[in-house]
Amino acid sequence: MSGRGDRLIRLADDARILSQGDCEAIAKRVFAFASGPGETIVNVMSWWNGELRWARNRTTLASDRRDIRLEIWRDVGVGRGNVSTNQLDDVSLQDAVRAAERSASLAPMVRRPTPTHPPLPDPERPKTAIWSDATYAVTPESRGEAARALIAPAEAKGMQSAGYLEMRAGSRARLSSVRMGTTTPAPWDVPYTAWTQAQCSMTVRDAEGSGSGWAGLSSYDWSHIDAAALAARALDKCVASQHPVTLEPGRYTVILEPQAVCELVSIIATSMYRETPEFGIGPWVLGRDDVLGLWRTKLGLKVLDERITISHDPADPLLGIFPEPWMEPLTWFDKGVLTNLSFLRDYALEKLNVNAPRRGLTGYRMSGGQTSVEEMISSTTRGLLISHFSNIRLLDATSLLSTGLTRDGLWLIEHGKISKSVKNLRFTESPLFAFNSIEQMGVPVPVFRPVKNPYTQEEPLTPAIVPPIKSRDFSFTSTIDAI
Amino acid sequence: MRQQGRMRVGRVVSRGLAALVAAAGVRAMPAQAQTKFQWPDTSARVTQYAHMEDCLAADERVKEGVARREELTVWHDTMPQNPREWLVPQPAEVTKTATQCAARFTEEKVDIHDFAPALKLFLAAGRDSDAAALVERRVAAVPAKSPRDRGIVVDSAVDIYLGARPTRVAAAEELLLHRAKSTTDRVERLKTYATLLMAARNAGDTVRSVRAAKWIVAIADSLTLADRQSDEFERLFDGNGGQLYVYDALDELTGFKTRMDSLRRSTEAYAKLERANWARATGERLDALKIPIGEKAAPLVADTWYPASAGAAPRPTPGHVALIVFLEHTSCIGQPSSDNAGPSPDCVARFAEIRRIAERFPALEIDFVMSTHGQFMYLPPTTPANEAVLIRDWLDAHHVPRAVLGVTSTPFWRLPPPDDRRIDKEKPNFEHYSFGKSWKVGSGSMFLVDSDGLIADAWRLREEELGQFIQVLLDRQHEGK
Repeated sequence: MSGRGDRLIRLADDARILSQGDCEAIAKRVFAFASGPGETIVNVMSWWNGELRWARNRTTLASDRRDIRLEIWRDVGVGRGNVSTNQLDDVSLQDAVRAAERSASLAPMVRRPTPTHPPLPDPERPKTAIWSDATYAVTPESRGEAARALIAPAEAKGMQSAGYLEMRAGSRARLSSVRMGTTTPAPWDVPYTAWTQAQCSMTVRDAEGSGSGWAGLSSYDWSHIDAAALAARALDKCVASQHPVTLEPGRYTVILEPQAVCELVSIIATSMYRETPEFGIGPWVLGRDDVLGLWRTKLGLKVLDERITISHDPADPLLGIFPEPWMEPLTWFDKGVLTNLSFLRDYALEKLNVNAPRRGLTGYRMSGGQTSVEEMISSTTRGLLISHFSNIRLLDATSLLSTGLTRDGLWLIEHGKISKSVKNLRFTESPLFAFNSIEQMGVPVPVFRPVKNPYTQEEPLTPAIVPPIKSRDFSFTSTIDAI
Repeated sequence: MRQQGRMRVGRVVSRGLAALVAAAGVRAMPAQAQTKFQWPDTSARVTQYAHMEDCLAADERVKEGVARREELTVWHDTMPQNPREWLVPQPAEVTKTATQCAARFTEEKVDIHDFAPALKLFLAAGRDSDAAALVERRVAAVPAKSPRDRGIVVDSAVDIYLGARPTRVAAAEELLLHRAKSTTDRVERLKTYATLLMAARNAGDTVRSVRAAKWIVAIADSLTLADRQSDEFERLFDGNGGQLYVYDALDELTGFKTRMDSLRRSTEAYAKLERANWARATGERLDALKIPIGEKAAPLVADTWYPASAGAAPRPTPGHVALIVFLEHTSCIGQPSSDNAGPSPDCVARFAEIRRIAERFPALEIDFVMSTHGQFMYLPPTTPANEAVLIRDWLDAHHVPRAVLGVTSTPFWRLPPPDDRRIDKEKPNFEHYSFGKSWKVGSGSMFLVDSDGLIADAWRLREEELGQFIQVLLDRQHEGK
């Protein structure tokens, strides 16, 4: 690292993110600058993001960014102050620590010492697969080559394509001057974790603007993404969706491709909190128990088709998730029965007398069947094949009635064959109804669900493995012009 | 729990190492120049503020700054409550800031739509005459044929007067009396006088509070049955009913000295006095109100006693004056999963108060009643015996002399899985110390028991008054009454 003369830190290409040794070395340097008693906590984060975006078959943006973020807390017993910096030279670190201490000295006394409080329990974190050398090895040049390969087929056919490629990596460690090197970490101490993520998505449209096809996939491992197959799929859908005809809205049997199923499951995911039905709100309320004076929930009751099981195992190599404390394998819907809802640790301690929170429906694997989409089509007298949805909005929190649009291809099925492309429709339907009207299910596959930056406060979307589903009486309420 | 949100946010000096290029495959170029962050000049020039809201905001900042500087050296949470808190003037820096900022605003030119911020600012600057003129002008701007709208303006002004420091009771009283006299609605007048009673009491102005209490009682005596059964009457006193205003007024008229005189005679006499006030306030018979005062204090039940010998004899001990405190650690200790978990300010103050009481009255018995909940802070679920030990350790940390702790293992059952919610059953002590449907004991309830085993107080009095109660009971005990 640089000394006093050069305060600009550059990371070499082969060191785009900080290693565990780097993080610990930085933390030790920060700890050494602390003056006086108290605890120093350092959150060392580094990230790299390489992206390429194109439209109309030409690159519009290509960037390779990286940065470090160091958050320093100084807890001097009666106050706590914090400072963030991305400069790692000695002068800057010392300045930052002094600033945190000044801030701590001015902070009000936020809490009394609590000498009788018992020690914190050790958190358990799962071992998850979220790092891929293949993703980390992608260079700007190889991203450009990948984009060329994605654009070329569409351009050869006279189509316009737009898309996005992104590879990112990051590392994080949160270390305490008091607990570093001990065997008693606090739940908020984060052991060194490095992760990668890759995503590829593209849309192809014809020159007249009558047809559109989309395909996309995300994974922590770039080698799991067959970009050529995605390009071919998007192109095929565009060609097949050209010159759509208008179809009257109404209730139809639908064949939902996995991406569309994932989007319906996302509506359910927003409701998977335990305390909401216990306040009498949401889809999982059973009713008021006046004798006990509380709301009963639908936990333990069948709420979906018995063929649906939605679960997540952090050790699943295809469903890597940022490891948080107390993250155990979990099933939310077991053969259609609602078995788990998320809750916070405070709730767990008070109401359930267990010492762990329960996470919500983030990454998941959904059960399926063996029926292929082609078989679903051939067994359909009249129905619609849906690629995916967009602009979904919740209309009613109790029934999860939602509205949204079909996009990037909608096809009418008649007598076991795709007969024509139709204009997109607006649906007004509840995923609970759709998942209780299932006729057939296919083999689950990974879908496009890119992980958001885990350093933000938002719960990141995580990979999902979802089957195609054929469901009856799906409600469409109007036609739309958007393709 | 102490709010964590008042931490100072640190400076952010980060800059991204963004490198944008025009075409794919070109290596990123580093930035050529870096500018060190310079702090802007943040000193406030309040005399140049053009808007009253800015002045009020500046005032708030100064007030906050004074409070925080004081908090660096003074912990208020264990100090006795200041009975004259409402009369304490605001810090001199706050007044100075308000005065400087408000100098450019003259009362005559203030738009009546800026009434509320202007009134606050004038009071903060000590310009009470301007404040009064502004209120008069604002009220006059409302047509006389709109008494409801005038009432809204008056209520706003009263709130601002009473919220100022020191509280402006005289100005508020003038407005409230005018409001009361301008309406024929007796329930409305009752509410107005009750507001005055509360304000006078907070200001320690006994003359005003007694005067207001007399008006309340007079109004109450004139209420018809229809008035008392009206929705408007039921909505008073936070939905508990206007009879509580009347009861409060009778209490004020009775006076603390009279209550102490009754208590000196006997707890039964004191209870009879309280019930008489209640009967007069509600029109019900004397024994209709289920209150603990004058009732026999049931023996406390516990599975674990600390010290262990305390369980050998009945508690509260017959022949002794005792203070029974119901407390639950779950309502005292803050968010158990937070790294800043600690006792709530209310609990810290409560323990400090009980400690002072215990030190002042060595003959007073102190009995804490607590129960298990299957968890203690962020620990994994533990046995009732272990939890009792943790509760004892927590109580010991507050150093209440001679405190006896009785811990009950709360019986419970669980809803069937996967719900698994814990449903606590009724605990014997809670059953024995709840009276009727309206008096339910909870965490924080305190009962003062005389040497005959009768409950003399359960109202959660101020520390000063509680001390006088205890002294009277101890004197009676000493005199063998």
